Formats: sequence, structure tokens, C-alpha cells
Amino acid sequence: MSEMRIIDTTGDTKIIWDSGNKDETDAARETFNRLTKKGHKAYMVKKDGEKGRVITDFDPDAEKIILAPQMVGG
Amino acid sequence: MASFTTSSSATTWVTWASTATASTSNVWVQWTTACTDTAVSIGNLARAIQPETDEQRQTRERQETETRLRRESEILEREEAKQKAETLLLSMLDPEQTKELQEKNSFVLVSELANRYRIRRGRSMNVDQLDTEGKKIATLCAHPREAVPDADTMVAQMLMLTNHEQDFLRVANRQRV
Repeated sequence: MSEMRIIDTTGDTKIIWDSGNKDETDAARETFNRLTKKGHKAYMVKKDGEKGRVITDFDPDAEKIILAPQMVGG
Repeated sequence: MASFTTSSSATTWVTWASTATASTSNVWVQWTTACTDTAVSIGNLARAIQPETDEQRQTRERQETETRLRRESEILEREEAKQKAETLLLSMLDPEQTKELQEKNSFVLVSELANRYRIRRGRSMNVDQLDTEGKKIATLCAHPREAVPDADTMVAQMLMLTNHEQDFLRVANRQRV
């Protein structure tokens, strides 16, 4: 099972999908596209905590994707 | 009190302040009897405040309970968010960084361009740029636009520094040491 963690005010919202399940994969992709269009940055990481790399396209076979909101100067 | 005074009360005050013959009881009598129909005496004011009815009391108590429960729920939600964020942050750290976070509430990372940064627990002005010897040379401030828990902010900062450091440096406000 793959998972996507969306960093938000609740801590994070978790979306899981089975790459073999089209509906689940499509739903995850829709969320990914909606949020990255909004300015979120997407990082693909391994579940064991490897640092991760930026992705711009949804990867249905990703182990774990973290979506972080746009950063602003403080 | 000012709304219940009249020019007569000014006279009363002058009497009070200026003469040794003005006793408290005299001044009080003067004060209350000096009030005109346009102002309500303190005694009338007390009688004017109606005791609340049973229905009003029940409404007030219900509203107070609802407010209290809502606040307790918000506190619980914030605590849950904080715990989730902490779990995510810990999943991103190596053993050394985890130990450092537990001991010092901060951890050091090597960035995309091989620079060193220390991320301290917090949301703003919590990223230190370090030199090769680990000495702080600047403090940077960049955080998610949304008000996410601090641990989430640290995850976002870490991911940005390790993947697109130049973007972080462009966005962050910088304070030199």
C-alpha cells in the first residue's frame, strides 16, 4: 500500500492507495494534482525515512509521498 | 460612576475635599440626594438590575457549558495534531538526529548543496545556518503558509533544504549573527 501525507493544521492528512486499485489511485492522483497546483511541494520518500526527492508528477508506485504547503518568509 | 454624577456631586466633592467638617456619612447623604431624575442613584441602580429568571440562568449555563466543551475539544485537537506531526518528523530523522532532537530540541542536517543547518524546534527564526565548524553564521526564517504544528514546520524546512536549498534561501528572511 502506498501513502500520501498532506501536512496541514491537523498534523497531517493521510491518504492511502493500492496501485492495483484504479479508483484509489485516481483519487490519490486527483488530490496530488489539486494540491501541487495550489503550491504544495511534493516529496517522494521511502517508508524507512530516507530523505526524499522532489516530484512534480504523481507516481502511483511511490511508497510514501509528503505534500508540504508553500513556504513563506517569516 | 461619572454617568451618575451631576454638578451637585462636584459640590459634594469640594465639600469632602476641602472641609474638616464633612464626614463620610454627610457626604454620602449629599451624594445620593444630589442625584437628579436624569441620573440613577446607586440604590436605584441596584434595584434596577433584575435577578435573572430560571430560563435565563439555564440559557447562560448551557452557553457556558457549550463554550467550555468547545474549548476542551480544540485543545484535544491541537494535542492530537502535535502528536501526529511529531511522529512524522521522527520518521524522517536518522538515529543521530533523533537523539539530538530528544536531547537538545534541535537537529543538524546536511543540505542539498552540502551546507549544514540546525533546525530548532519552533516555527519561525528556527533555522541556523552553520559554518564548517558548526558555528552559527545566520538565522533563517521560512515556514509553511498554513499554521501547522511546529514539528510539521520542521519537516517542511528539512525537505526543502535537502531538496531545493536555493528556493529556501530565496524565500527565507535572514538575520546575520
